[in-house]
Amino acid sequence: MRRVAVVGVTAVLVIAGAAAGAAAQVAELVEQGEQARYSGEQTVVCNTPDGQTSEVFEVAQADGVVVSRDSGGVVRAAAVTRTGGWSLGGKYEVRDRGEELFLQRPVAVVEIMEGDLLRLRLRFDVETGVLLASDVFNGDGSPYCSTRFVVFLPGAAGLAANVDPELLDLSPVGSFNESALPEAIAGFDRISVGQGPREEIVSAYYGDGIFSFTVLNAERVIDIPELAEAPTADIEGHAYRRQFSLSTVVVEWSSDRGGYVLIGDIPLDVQSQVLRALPTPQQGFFDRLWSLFN
Amino acid sequence: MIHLGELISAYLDGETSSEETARVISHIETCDRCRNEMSDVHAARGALRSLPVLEVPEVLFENLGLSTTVVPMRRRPVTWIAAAAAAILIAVTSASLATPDAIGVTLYDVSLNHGQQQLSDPGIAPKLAILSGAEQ
Amino acid sequence: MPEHVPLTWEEVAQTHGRKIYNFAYRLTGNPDDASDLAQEVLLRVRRGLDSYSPGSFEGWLWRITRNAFIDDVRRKKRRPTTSLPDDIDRSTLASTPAPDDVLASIRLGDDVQKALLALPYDFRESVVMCDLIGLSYDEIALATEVPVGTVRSRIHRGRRMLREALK
Repeated sequence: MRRVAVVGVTAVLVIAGAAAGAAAQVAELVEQGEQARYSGEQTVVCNTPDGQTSEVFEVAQADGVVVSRDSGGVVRAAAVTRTGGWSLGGKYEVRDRGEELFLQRPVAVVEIMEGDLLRLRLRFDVETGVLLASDVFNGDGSPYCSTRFVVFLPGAAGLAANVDPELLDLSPVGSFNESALPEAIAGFDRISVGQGPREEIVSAYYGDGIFSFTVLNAERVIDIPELAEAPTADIEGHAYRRQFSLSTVVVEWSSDRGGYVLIGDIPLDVQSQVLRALPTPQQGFFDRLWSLFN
Repeated sequence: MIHLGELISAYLDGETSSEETARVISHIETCDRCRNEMSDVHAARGALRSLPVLEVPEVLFENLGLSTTVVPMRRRPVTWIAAAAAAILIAVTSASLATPDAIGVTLYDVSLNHGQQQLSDPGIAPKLAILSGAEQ
Repeated sequence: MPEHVPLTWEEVAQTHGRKIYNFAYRLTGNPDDASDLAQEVLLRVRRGLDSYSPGSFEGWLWRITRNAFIDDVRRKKRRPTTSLPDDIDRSTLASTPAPDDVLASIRLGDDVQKALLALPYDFRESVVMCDLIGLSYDEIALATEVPVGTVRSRIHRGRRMLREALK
């Protein structure tokens, strides 16, 4: 069982333009959830090509900060409040599925459809707006990841008491290779471009109103030591280094446009679509070895 | 119905097998009694973990003939995903990671970078930011 | 997972001294007893380090700690509030309240500490090892020389009792 970080965070939504019905309802719930104060335990289960992983986290939220602690004792925190409008990509539709009981609490059930495919099922606590349960589905309908609160205690700050957030601004980067980090990838819009984790690396962030991911690009190969032992993934006939941590995938490869890293919480079929839309791995030494044996 | 009992504590401590974990997750959704018990255990764990860690009296080390400089303990080891306070971040010596052909960057830094951009993200799917390996 | 064994006694004292002291303090509620105990443990570790053979270092260390505690109780002929492990006299240890000059931070956890001291010894020990020291169930089983199933049961029952006491 892999030890990973989980912070269940939700977005601030200021609906851009006139959004009616279910979408507006979701926006309100999410905004309300951000103000919430609670302590609890959350379980996350994911099905990846490398196997099923699950983890349980002590979580708490107060004053715009959400904190989690995994069963190994590692504590992680993130600021909850966001800025920016929410425009739902045209490929999605929000459906109101009424109310149910979850943990003996009324929850609003919302489904996000991508055409005929159910992508996301969300269950929001009616009283606090907190997302108590979520299910993300792959393109073939199979479940990708699920989150569930198993203990939910609204009002108590728990772990989140006395945490002081200091935010760093992501500094915008001057010029970058537009063809390496295009304005749109597989139905996702490029939301921001900024400085990557190193001066030479440019980081571009993409979202479609539901899911999001970051693409890093540099002239040289980007080498992540932790991925050295990662399994090699064959995606559409090319070899990539890929590693899952719960629902987050990290993929690393190099191409004729330099070194790449993809990181994000996106279902499996979407991962393939995004990789297909980016420059493919070049026939470097690693790739040549791979094609020799496959 | 058989209730979970001690599986509840084991589960919260990450000490259950995958079968036991699956059993706990499915049982807890429909059983009030076990859910209440899990709340109790959650509260007890929280109370215990909030107990202050006491420093060893110096005289103890002196009596044993040891120097009194103790390994500093991280009082509140919090790792920021989508924000960074320099004092808390794990220091990375970037110079040593780069080679002529590659730029070295840790998974932690990659995750942090992604997390920072999520601050302005309008997406609503649950974000499960990763830091796998960063703490080892 | 590769086991990192501290090479020298000094290193053990530096890296584990605090935990040993806190373990002793939380079990007894008394800083003087805790100091004595921690000192005794470290001395025994020094004596035993040469003959330590690779296995679970934490298990080994905490077995020493635990044995030192039991011997300490025997020697001082204190009467434990509740049952001690089967192999020593069943008598009660009076839960001595902390002296007035203790660290201010202790007062924050007074209620929890009181509730801890009211637990049966076995439960208290397991809960402290798990939630305060951070040992795994396997490590606790090694240290207390009982099966993991017993550890599970003690931890769970200890926590539930604690919760009741804190209500």
